[in-house]
Amino acid sequence: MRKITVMERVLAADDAWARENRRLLAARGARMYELVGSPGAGKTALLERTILLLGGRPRVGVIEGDLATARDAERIRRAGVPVVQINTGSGCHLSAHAVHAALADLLSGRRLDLVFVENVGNLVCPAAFDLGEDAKIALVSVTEGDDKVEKYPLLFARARALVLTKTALLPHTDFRPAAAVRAFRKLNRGSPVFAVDSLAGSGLDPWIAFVRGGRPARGKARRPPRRSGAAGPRGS
Amino acid sequence: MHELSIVEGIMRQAERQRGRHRFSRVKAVDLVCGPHSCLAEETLQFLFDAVTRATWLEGARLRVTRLGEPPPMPGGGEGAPAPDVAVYIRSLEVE
Repeated sequence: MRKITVMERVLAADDAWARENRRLLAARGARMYELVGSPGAGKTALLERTILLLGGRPRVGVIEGDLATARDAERIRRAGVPVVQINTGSGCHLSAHAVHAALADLLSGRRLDLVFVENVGNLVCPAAFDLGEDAKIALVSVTEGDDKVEKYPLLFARARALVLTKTALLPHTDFRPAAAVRAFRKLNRGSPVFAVDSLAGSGLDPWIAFVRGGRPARGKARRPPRRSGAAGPRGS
Repeated sequence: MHELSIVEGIMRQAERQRGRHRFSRVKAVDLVCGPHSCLAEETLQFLFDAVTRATWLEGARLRVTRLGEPPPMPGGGEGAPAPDVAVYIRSLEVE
């Protein structure tokens, strides 16, 4: 028996595809934002409303990720922008490789400024995979509970923005926005927080300004405080 | 269930190493993962065993060393795989 030293990333192939996606987007002058949140957090509803409010500037395309069905893609298509649906089958997250094929499709013969990727509804796995995006944007709906930020720290630490959704329902829940924001700030000092209701159409102006604003502001190089004995969430 | 993606990555890397170093079997795979890599070790081994059954990788043990101290969060580093979520193959025990 002998030992071979490897010291290589297990997902080196995925990373290469993520780099390729970045190269493709840069060559076309487009940005890519990835929406990550639980099933039912309101990712598609936020996209529908965002597309409506953007009114074609910037020019938007969407990649939809779900285990099954093209239902979300149909909703986005009705909103009037090009969309590619990826069905992951049993996969709990999108891969950079799958997104590459969808991107090539989406950008073929079309000029787009901004690509939204709606990942599979899941607060754990999508956080660990680089798709080549410019920013991961985390969503939490007020019907989910304000403890989700603390429970799934990886996503919220990496997010370039947090969007609290379904705020019109706040009077009917025990969700405390201040507690969610406090938990978020422990993990992430630099990224903005938005509170919106996509169906009622409220609170969306700052979000739209952020989306229009080009590359999202980099977080300051301040280090977040270390959490004692913390490990990430286990399992998937 | 993103452990399946990790299993596929391990198989790809093992295949590459076999091309370079010539060996017939892998006894063990030593993995190092960041504290936020969200890996469930039992699930990982279970899936690896299922996927590699009746292949040259059958029977290999996966040994995971989890880095304990969370490194500073990436704060939105563009593109670079964040060290806190990375999973590396440190070495292979082969024969």
